[in-house]
Amino acid sequence: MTVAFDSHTGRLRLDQETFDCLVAWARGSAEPGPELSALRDAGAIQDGQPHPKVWPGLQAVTEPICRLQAGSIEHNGRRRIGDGWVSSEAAALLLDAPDGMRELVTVHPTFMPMTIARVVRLGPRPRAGSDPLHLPSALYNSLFDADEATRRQAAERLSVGASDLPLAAVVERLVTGPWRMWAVTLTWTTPDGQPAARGMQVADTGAGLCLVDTGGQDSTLWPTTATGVWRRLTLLLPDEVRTP
Amino acid sequence: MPASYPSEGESDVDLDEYRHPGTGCVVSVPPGWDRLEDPQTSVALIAREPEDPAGFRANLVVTVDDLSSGPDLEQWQADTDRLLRQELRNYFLLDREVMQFGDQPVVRRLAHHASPDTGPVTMEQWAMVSGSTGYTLTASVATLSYDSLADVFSSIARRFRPGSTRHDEEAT
Repeated sequence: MTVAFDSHTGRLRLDQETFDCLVAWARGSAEPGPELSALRDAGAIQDGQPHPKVWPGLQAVTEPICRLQAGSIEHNGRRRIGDGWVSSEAAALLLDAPDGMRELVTVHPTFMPMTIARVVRLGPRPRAGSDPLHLPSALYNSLFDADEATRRQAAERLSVGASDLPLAAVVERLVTGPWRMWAVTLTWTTPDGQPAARGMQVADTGAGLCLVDTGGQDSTLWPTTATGVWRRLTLLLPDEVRTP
Repeated sequence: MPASYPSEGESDVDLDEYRHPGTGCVVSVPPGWDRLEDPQTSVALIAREPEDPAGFRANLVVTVDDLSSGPDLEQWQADTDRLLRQELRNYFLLDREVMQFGDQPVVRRLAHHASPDTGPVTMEQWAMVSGSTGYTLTASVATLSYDSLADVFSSIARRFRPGSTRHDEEAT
């Protein structure tokens, strides 16, 4: 089965090729692909039209005001990615599903922060402290490696046992796991034609949350709370979507 | 790269101080917000931002619960967690912590809920016990406007002062 469609919720589960076919069909392609029949059989396309629950998301995909890219990696190296398209009427998010399929979720743009929060399982965490941890990018990469031994070596180089090391509990949890690093970036073109972007990267451990800054030769982990992460999530959308 | 990421802080917005006559609790309210005093049982005050036809009106609600039957702050708030999950549509708990306002323990929670009437709403709550009375300050705002009011809500919560209820006075 390459397509599963829930006409009640509008959730559409499909593989990437079928999604590409759906988008090509929506854009008017004469030969969108052989997957079109599966989309019809599942009810995502009815009588030559997208199902009403699919239509807003498909419009966002074909005529977006901004694009969204998301990704996460866990302590065991498991990666998931997400793609998104946002218009003034809808936000369509195409997310990796556990079975290798992808799931198209369509919500009103004002629900985008909540949808991301659910996907990354944002929730209460201990306060990790107040001081940021600055570290060379090579050490940072080792600290978030999929191999625990590599992470432990990086932590030892940071003197994780030292009482004055900022975020010591977070670093220790990065070694042992579980943790998830996730990032989301929105890009768009401003009304005067300039490229614009907003994004955030978060390290989520049971010992606390950190905003991550990886620009330049050094990387920084900034301690934060779920509230701090939520505030930034609510600010990601461009003004063109926030105030249509 | 920013020198530091901003964190939750205090707002420099001037706030009006309101004293609830029944409970004596003192609440700071943004200027121009409508006030409804004792609109229903256990609700001491509702304050709402001026009418906004574009969407959900941010608001503050002060509720007062009689805790003379015995629950302490944690027990009371554990019950509240269950109640919120049951009562609010699409409820999602984002943050929860026990914090201190001076020597007063306070449970703060941040949550999201949504219904067709309200759209997506971010709700921040502070709950504290004074004597045998539980006070809850609930601030709600349309989710995309949360950041613009978060520091104001935090200031209001930190300035909140519980009153001494008639029941407590009788008990002493």
